[in-house]
Amino acid sequence: MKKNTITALFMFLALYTACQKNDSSTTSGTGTTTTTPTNPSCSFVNNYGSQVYIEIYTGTSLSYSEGRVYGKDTPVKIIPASGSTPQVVANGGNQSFSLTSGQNIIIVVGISSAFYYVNDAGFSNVTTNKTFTLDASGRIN
Amino acid sequence: MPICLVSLVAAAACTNNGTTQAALASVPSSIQPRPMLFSGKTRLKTFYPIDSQTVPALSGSGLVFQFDTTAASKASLLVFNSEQAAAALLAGNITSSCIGGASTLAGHSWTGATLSLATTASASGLYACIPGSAIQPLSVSQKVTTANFPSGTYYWVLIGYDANFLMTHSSALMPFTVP
Repeated sequence: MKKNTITALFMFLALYTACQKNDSSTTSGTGTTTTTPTNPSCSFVNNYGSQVYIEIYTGTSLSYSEGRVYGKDTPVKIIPASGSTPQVVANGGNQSFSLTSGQNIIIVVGISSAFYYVNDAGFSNVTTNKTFTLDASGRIN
Repeated sequence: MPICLVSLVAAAACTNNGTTQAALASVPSSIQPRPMLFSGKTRLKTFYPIDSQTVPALSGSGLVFQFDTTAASKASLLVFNSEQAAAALLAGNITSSCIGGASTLAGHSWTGATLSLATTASASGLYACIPGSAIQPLSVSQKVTTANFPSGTYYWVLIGYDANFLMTHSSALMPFTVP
């Protein structure tokens, strides 16, 4: 009996180990395992009707006002990755970017070669792959 | 984790759990608001149409301008079919490129938030411009409707005044396109 108990214990441990994934996995009640990406792949799609220019920042409690991006900590610009010129996105085009799961972002949209402000929108706790779309009315969803 | 969302129609300054923007960290963006038509004034916010937007066809439900002029004691909204130089307007001469507008100075109905360009005069809140008239640049009776706005690019601006009729506020001259 004792041997059978030990055997059963080892079998349990073997099964448990086999089912272990990384920290991003969850197990449903049926025993299937799903994996959420640790680095969500995202995309900004421009359906505004004309070429636009974008900046994307990460941080905490992000907002945009009168030409500045605010946050609890200093916002970090991820698009464009370098330089001061906003990223151009052609009408109907898209810009891909990756995040660390759980990051907050704000997308700022401008127009014309002078990068005049059009609109901005913030999104919190991004954990899954997501497409952010600028529609013809200027809304970002 | 709270995040400050700024929607298309939101007018209030963004705060974070009661913390004003002055207490938050910030970085300058290369994307800047279009300069006010009249510099040195306090900005009036324009919400719709937004910069360079192509609005839906006017033949349906017309166009509702959305803005915020509550900070000004009195205000005007003007729509042009070409770009305007501030100096020309400061001289008091409304040019022939002015298509229509409304103003509390003329006694027009004013909510401080919306103004409708409708398909019928009875429903429209915009009045005809009187070119060259510095004293009375807007008609007090003749309305303009969507029929006065054929396809093309237009420019709209908000102007705000204090109780003594001195200009204190301005928006940018915002282009938009009628398909």
